[in-house]
Amino acid sequence: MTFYTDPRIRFAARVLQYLAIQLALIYLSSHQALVTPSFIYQGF
Amino acid sequence: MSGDPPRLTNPSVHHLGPALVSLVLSVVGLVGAAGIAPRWARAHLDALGPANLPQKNLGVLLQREAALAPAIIPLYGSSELVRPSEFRASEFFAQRPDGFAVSPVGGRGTPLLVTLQEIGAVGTAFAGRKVIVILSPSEFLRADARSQYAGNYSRLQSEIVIFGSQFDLAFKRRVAQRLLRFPEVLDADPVLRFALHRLVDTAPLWRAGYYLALPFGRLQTQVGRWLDAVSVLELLARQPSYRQAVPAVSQPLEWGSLADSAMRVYRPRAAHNPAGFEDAHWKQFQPNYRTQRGRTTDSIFRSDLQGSPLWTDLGLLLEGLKDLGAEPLVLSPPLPGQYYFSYLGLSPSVWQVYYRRLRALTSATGARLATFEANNLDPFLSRDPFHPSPVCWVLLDRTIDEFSHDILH
Repeated sequence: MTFYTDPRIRFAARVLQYLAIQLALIYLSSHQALVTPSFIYQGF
Repeated sequence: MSGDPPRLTNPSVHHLGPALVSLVLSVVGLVGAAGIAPRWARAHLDALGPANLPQKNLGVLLQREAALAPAIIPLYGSSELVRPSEFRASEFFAQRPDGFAVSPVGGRGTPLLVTLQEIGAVGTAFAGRKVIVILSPSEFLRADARSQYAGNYSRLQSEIVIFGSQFDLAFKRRVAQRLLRFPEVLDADPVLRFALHRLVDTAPLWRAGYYLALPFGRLQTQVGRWLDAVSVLELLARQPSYRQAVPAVSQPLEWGSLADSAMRVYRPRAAHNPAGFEDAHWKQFQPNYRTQRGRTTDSIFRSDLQGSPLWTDLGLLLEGLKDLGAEPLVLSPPLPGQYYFSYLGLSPSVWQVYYRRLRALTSATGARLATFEANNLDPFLSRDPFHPSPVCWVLLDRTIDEFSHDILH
């Protein structure tokens, strides 16, 4: 069985792939909601 | 054939397991972040407390920790808190010269309706705690500014106020009426929008509709709180300056000599215009003020002050603070009297509308009030119609200091 066909490795790789996507989403959402308001008020 | 990889009978099944595992790991990570972030924030409140931070204005975690800290007084306001100035309270008290620091919350143009949500979201952490709200009297002359609201709106705070348990439904209904005046910020939040519409609904089943939205709203709120924790951890991880201890430097506060130094600093910057504003500001906006001079009359002014939507928001804010059991002080800085009375030629009596209502609202809710009416005609107190000068900040700092030590008369 090769590295790519080992189901455990494939499983772990997919977990990491999804985790990376989720972490990116968490980071972006947290920034959008709590660091950079969707609209910057420029007046007084 | 033995050398071929095994055939995938249903590829989606092979993604489901990893997706679920990664989701569980993410949730565990977020719960962990939500557990660690308050402790980490508490450990670094010396530096985080006096700072102006979007994470503080838009989130809840940092505000809550500041409200709970024994030696920090939260100060809610708007642009005066972020506009650099000598003697500004957050910097003046940063090293706790008299035993406490001030935690500013608010940004450019923060309207009272947003302050209400900021404070409401922190909720019961204010029980028995001192909190200060600084007003801009001149803001009461402006109509609802959509851009001011949108630029300071926090979805998390709004959701906590509406879906949380710190306020009763009758109060939430009144808040919802005001929040629905700004529907544009609700486009991305159908659950909150639905709940707000049910709250203001007069149909018999409004309550059922609200309770239907409640579990979804609470779930959203929880996700928002997790993201709040992530943003605080990220701030602390990325900015070492907020992890450094700020040693307390105790020193006697000689208010007379502080006022003299503020005057020495500010007078040369404001001595060359008829309104008593900062000269640079006057130079830039002089044409606008000239136009105002010809148009403003006592009756227009009085009717603007009376009809301001800010009275509703201030009333709700003070009622909310009372419900939370807070010990609030409302600071209304001196008016730019030289501008209103000498330059525009208005009668000082028109402002009695403002002071009467302010006194009525604060006394009805048990809030303390400092108005500085005796200083309205003093020169060099305003940099422009909205912002205190360094001289004025010394007056405000002194009042904050007296309030913190329970010696405010």
